[in-house]
Formats: sequence, C-alpha cells, structure tokens
Amino acid sequence: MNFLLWWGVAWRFLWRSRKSTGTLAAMIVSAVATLIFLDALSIGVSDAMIRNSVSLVSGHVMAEHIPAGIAPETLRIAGVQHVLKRRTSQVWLRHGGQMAATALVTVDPDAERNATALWRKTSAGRYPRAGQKELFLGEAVARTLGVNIGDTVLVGTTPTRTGRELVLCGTFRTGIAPLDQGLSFCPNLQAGARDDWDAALFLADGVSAESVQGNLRLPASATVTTWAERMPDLKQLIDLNSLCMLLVMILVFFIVSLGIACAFVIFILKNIREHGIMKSMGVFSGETVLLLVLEISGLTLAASAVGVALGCALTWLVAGPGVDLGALTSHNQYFAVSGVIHPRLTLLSLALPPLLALLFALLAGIWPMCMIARQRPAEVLRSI
Amino acid sequence: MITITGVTKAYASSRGLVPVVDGVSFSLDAGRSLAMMGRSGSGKTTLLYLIGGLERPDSGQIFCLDQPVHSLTGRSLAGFLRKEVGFLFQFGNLLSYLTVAENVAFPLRLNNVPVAECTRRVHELLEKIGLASAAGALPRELSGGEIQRVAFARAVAHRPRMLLADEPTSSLDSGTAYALMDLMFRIGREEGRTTLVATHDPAVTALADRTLHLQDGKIVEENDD
Repeated sequence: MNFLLWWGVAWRFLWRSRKSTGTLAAMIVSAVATLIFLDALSIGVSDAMIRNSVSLVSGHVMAEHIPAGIAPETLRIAGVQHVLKRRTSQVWLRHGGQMAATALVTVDPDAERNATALWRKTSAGRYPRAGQKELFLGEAVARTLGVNIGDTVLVGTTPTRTGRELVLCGTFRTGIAPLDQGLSFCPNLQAGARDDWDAALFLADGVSAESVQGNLRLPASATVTTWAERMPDLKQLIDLNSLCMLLVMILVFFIVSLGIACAFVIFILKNIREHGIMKSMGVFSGETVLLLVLEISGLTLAASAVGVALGCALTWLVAGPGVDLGALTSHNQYFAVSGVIHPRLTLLSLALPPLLALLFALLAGIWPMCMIARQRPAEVLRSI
Repeated sequence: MITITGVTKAYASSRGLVPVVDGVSFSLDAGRSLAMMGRSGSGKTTLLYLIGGLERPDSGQIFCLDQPVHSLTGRSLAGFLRKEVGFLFQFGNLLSYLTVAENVAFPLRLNNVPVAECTRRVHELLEKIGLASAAGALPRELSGGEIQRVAFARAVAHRPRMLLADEPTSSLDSGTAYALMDLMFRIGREEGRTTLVATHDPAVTALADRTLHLQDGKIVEENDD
C-alpha cells in the first residue's frame, strides 16, 4: 500500500471539505481542552489538600529519632527544599489548678515561619521568637488551662514534677483536632535536650515523597514516613479524586463521542460517492479503510493538538492567580491554610484526553468503515 | 479479446426478479471498439458493469484480456480494475476533493508510477484535452464538457487495455459530445485499446468499429463496419 498516496488523499479530503472538518475539529478541540483543564483543576485540588495538610507542621516527609551526630544538611538531598530540625517530648502543662498533656515541639521559629504555615493560623498573640522562653499553644488547650497571653505555664515531664516555665506568647486554631489539642511549640532547646532529633522535610513541587523517602540514607534506628503514610485518609481522598476524574473523563468522552460518532458517520457517508468511484478504479478495501483511518486519526490528532494547546493556555492563565474556593472549603480540614486551587498539568492529564479522543473517534468510524469497505462499487455508482 | 457467453443478470424488485441482461453472448477482438446502443433500461450500463467486474453475473462467463472477470473477487478484481480497465462514467464522476491534475494522476499513483513520469503523463493528457490551464482547478469549477474531458483523461491515464464508457456524452451538447468521442476513439486506436461504449447517441456508432443493439437485456441487432 502506498501510504504517502493515501495520506495525501486523506489530507486533501479533509482540507477541501473545510466546513465538515471544521465542525468535527471544533467538537474535538473543545472536548480535549475542557478535559485537560478539568483534570488540571482536579490535580490542583489534590495538590492544595496535600499542601494544606503538610504545610502546617509535618512536611511531606518526616524523619524521627535521628542520631544527634547527623547534621540536617545530610537530609537536604535532591528535591528537598527545607529541612526543619525539631525535638519532640511528651510533657504536662500546668497553670493554676489545671493540667493538660501535650507533645511539646522545640523549633527554630525563623526557619518554621519560612517553611510552614502554622504561624498563619495564630488566633491570639503571636508566633514565638528565637531565643525566648515562650510557648505557642492550641487555642483549645489554652482554654482548658485557663491561660491567657502573657501568662506563665509550668512545663514538666510528669503531672507532679515542675520543670521549666514558659510564657504563653500565642495560640493557634487550625480546625484539625489532633493538631489543636495535641501539639504545642517553643523555640529551640527550651524543652530539654535529647540525643536524637526529628526532621520535617518540605519538598519542591512535583517531587515524589516516596522517592525522597527511599533516597534518604539514615541509620536503622531512624524512622522515615511520608505524608501518605501519616495521613492515609488524605491519600485515599486524593486517589478517590483521581479515580472520579478518570471516570468523568471517560463519561464525558463517551457522551461527546456520541456527537463525534454521528458527525463522523455523516462525514464518511457524505463521501461514499468518492469511495465508490475509487473502488471502480481498483482501490482495495484495505486501502479504503486506510484512507478512512488516516482521515479520522489525522483530524482527531490535529484537533487534539489544538485542544491540548488551548487546555494548556487556559490552565496557565488560571494557574497563576489560582481559583479561590475559600467559601466552599473554609470548614474543611484539608484546606486549613488556603482554599486557593492552582490547576497543574501532568503528562497523563495532557496525554489521556487526546488518546481518548482518538480511541472514541476510531470506534465511531468502525461501522461506516465496514459498510464502505464491503459495499460493491456498482451499488454506489447507481445511487449517484 | 473480450468473450462473453450466456451472461444473465437480474435484479430483485417488488415485481420479483427482473432480468436486465438476458443471455448475452458476443466477442470483441483486442484493440477494437464497440458501441452498445439501446433505450434506457435496455441493459447497456449493467452489461458494461458486468464486463468491468463492477457487477457479478447470475450466470454465464466473461473473459476480458484473458481474465475470468465473472469469478474475480477482492484483490484480484481490484488489481484487474486498476491495471487493465478505465471507466468513463455518464457524469464524469471526478473525485470532488482532488484537482483536475490530481484526478488524472490518481490511477497512475495507484499503479505506483514514479512521480516524475506521473507529472509528464498528466501534462501530456491535459494538453491533449485542452485543459492544461485548468490543472489546479477543482471539479466544481469546471463545465460539464470539461468534466467529461478530464474524466476521459483519468480513464486512460494509466494506459488501460480496455476502456468502458457509460453514456459519456448524454449530458453534453452535440458539438462537445462529438469532439469527446472523436478524441476517445482516436487515442484508443493510437494506443491499441479495446473500447466499449454504452450510448443512445447514433453519432457514436459511426465512430465505433462495431455496434450492438440491446433491447430488454438481449442483443437484437449487430452491425460491423
């Protein structure tokens, strides 16, 4: 078969029947562009949930029980943007006659402010300052203790033993119960030194937490967990979101493909005369099918390319400022910091819509292709 | 050489099977021309399609250029059509999305003629039919006479050994029709082509070597020059 001949004929058929080609192309362009943008939005939602969840405190990867001899720089491998050094101890807080158990995390306030978003959730007072004997406490715990900003809180490792005194500089409220009720923060070395330390690793956009987890070289005594391991509920929610988006894509294309199928059937049957004439000139059935496949795939791929470009442009336009869904997410723990969605493209979100378009277009063409390939030229010629 | 023996063809209709070609037999030497005369519905077009393999006979045998056309199917039939046969239809039937030059070149490209040879042959034919200046025009831009001339050029472009023409002049005025027929028979003789024309134009019979008169699917009269 002379592939170049048939490609040339297919191209001329498409180019010289511009109205039909344009109508079909417009349907494919709009479907592909819409799906690319929707998928980018869906990925943006997942990104926002992860970003919101990890940016408060934990980071994408958390390493615990790191021996004191290991420097934080050791953990700054490819893809890691910030390494926050912390120490965590279980303590009792006392004020007046009230007590509350909490995990007290010693932090470098400047580094934390640079990498995390917890300081933005300050409900009263302010975030601690480096070198100060200050305490940053969940609003609910502060209420339990009956403590106000500027009051002194006693910190001990048992309910009865009094250790150090810290001044409450601020309270926070995230809406996430384990965080609001289970964690408190003070600047470095205020909660007592221990041999080992913990690290919260914040990754650059698009870097896989699992790959960083696998690439960290730490002693066996250290434990490294990713956000997905610490928050399986969030992982499931994101997987569910992706699955729903895939189903939406297939369903949308199934519905759109009905329209595309009708248009393709009309497009192919409109040219039945040409196919009858070509058959009378000795064109093989296989060549007729090749011509139709080239027409369908050429049109679909060209229209898909435009659709991809349009979808990318739309995503790029929206990704900068983002879509503020704050009004819809303000009570959702996975949007504790910000409800702004930044659509993001992935290779899969760019490839899947065109592939679905091609698949459904070829499926739509099967029936008219079979019909034309099997029709005797005399039947067509008599009907002209 | 074309040899047709006892060929019949009937179509199913609400009145039952209607015979369109009924026991036709004749032969024609290679390089000769034949005009098939008859009124509408006499079976001229069907007989032409049967000889060209576009229809299959219900019974009888058709041998064209040593090929058993009555039993050819699929690739062998398509191969026979693309190499040995040129069809000239009543209304030209040009491929509407191809230009004049592309239409004429199409059978050459189908037969894998090199592009340079293809271009030369197309130019030569368009010169012969007086349409070299319309090479880039689409069929919708041409008149009826021009369409038929291009259709003729396409039908003979690959130098088929047999040309089958189905009422090629019915949509043309007498002057244009005569010019086309003259061109067809003249080039046919030059290239040693066997030419069969279905027509109801008596003027065509004067140009053909032989004439068959058909009525109700049967040969009722036969004239040799």
